[in-house]
Amino acid sequence: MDVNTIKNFIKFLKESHYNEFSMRDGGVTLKVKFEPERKNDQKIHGIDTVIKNKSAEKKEAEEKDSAAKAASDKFVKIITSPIVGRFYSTMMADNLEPIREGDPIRMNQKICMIEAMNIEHEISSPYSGIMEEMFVDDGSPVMYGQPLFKVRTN
Amino acid sequence: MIKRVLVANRGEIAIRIIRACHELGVEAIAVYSEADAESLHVKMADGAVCVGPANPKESYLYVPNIISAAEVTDCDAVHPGYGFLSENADFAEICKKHQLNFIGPEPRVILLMGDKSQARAMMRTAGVPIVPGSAPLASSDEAVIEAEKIGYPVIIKASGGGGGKGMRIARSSNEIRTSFDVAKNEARMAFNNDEVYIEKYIEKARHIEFQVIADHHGNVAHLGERDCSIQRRHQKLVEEAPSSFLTESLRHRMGDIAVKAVKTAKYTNAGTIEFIMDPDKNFYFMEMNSRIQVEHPVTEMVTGIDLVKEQILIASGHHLSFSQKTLNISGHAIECRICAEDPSNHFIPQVGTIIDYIPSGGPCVRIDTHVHSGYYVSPHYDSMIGKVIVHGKDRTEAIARMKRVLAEIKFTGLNTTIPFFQKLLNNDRFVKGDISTSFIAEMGA
Repeated sequence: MDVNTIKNFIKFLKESHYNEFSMRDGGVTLKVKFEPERKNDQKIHGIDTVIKNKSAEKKEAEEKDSAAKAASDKFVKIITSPIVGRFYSTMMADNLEPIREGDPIRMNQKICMIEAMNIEHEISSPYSGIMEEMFVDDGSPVMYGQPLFKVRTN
Repeated sequence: MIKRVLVANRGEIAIRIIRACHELGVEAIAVYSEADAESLHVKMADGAVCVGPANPKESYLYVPNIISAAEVTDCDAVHPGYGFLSENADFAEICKKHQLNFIGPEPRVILLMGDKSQARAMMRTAGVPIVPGSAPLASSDEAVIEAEKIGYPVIIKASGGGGGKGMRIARSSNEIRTSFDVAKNEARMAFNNDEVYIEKYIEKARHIEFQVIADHHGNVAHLGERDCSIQRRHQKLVEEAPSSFLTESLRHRMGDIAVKAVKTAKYTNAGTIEFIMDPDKNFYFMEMNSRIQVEHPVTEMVTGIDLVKEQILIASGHHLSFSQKTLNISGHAIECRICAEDPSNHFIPQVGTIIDYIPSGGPCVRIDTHVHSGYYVSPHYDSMIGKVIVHGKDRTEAIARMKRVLAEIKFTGLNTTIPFFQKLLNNDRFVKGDISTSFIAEMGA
């Protein structure tokens, strides 16, 4: 396996939705793992989820749909944003691992951070259960009342 | 030039600002409460951010969410409109700290104009006539001594507030003695401050205000006056430009004084200087409003100047687009503020759905409204559902046109103040221009 093959392989993976990949070719094992991106210093110019452009409207409709479905299931709860700001699934101060879909969470556990006016606001879960879905991407703007997580309660 | 404005307001003024932005090629981002999610200003803007629940304290007045909404949407300016955060100096200061261009005067000037006694003192040094009045008073005996100097009738006023609270008119020393403690108690209850003072009470007064505007290059102009004497409980209902009571020479004199006041205060952007005028045409400074006013369209109708566009251009560092010499005031404009209130039942605010909204139109008619068929009038916000503004070659034509428009326009499903305006427009005294701030009370409304 030459360097160019590995480079092309990494490029292919970057463009895919996989975060981790491993393969064995003869005596060589190749393992690729991407760290979740922290777009802290990235200024978003295309105003996405907050702004009602077409893709955001579609996304919002999907979120609403998912949230509406959740409302009909009494064990499923939606955690919404209490403030306007920028969403991060990790917390700089606590060096906390981001929660992934399928992870168990406890009531009052810090689950994400929303940055507003240069201040990091830790958001805690009001429920215990399994985090089934995360509705927003890291670094995205969020508005008041926007669905962030879907949790299946115990 | 400003690129993207956060419109920190709701209702018709939010739409008014969005329109000005779009005509200038500037993007406008709306903010809204959960109660306003389906509002027209949200639909018309280039983007929208929900900033909180229906209660304005947690949404339109909640500074962190407003600032954050501007930041996450990459706005470079904030237009506060009127009401809400428009005269909040702290908010203007926070905008500045967050590199947001506040479309209005400097925070220092907002603070100065918000303090009524400081504003009066500043105007006095600028040579602006002030209503004769006293310093804060400790007792009714002191008030009587001051009243003898000023001359009866006098009005006892609370230092800490307005809106009619803590106000008592006294026509004799006996009336001062009976009203003084009542006014003090009322002031303590309303403003947590029982400091009161007295002022000369002007009977049959007119409310005459001058629209002023100044850029950051030392250019200042006034755009003539508005007569806002038709009021109910200190709330303006009808505004006209120009005032039929002013002579051309008086207009020039008052305008010059208004411009001088703006220069003294180092005021920038649009503002209004309010005067009270007695039947002998003596006028006195009341206060300065450091924002765009509800009634700004009547000035726009007679001058052809778009005040909100001027505001945005001034905040962008441009020069005023006109000068005092090039400004031309033509014809007569009238505005009626249409509210969802029941005029036959003490103007009680109405809550409910407007089933059908049928607009009026035709020449020289402007309707600034945020409502549409199916719009829900919420109890959380002001009851004003729109402003009807007409222009005519003179006052007679403007009155006739307003009558025609009010007969055509329909908001069905709830009571509005339209029947009240129709009665007013047919009142002989109103038609003759014989009006004052007590006109509505005298009319029995």
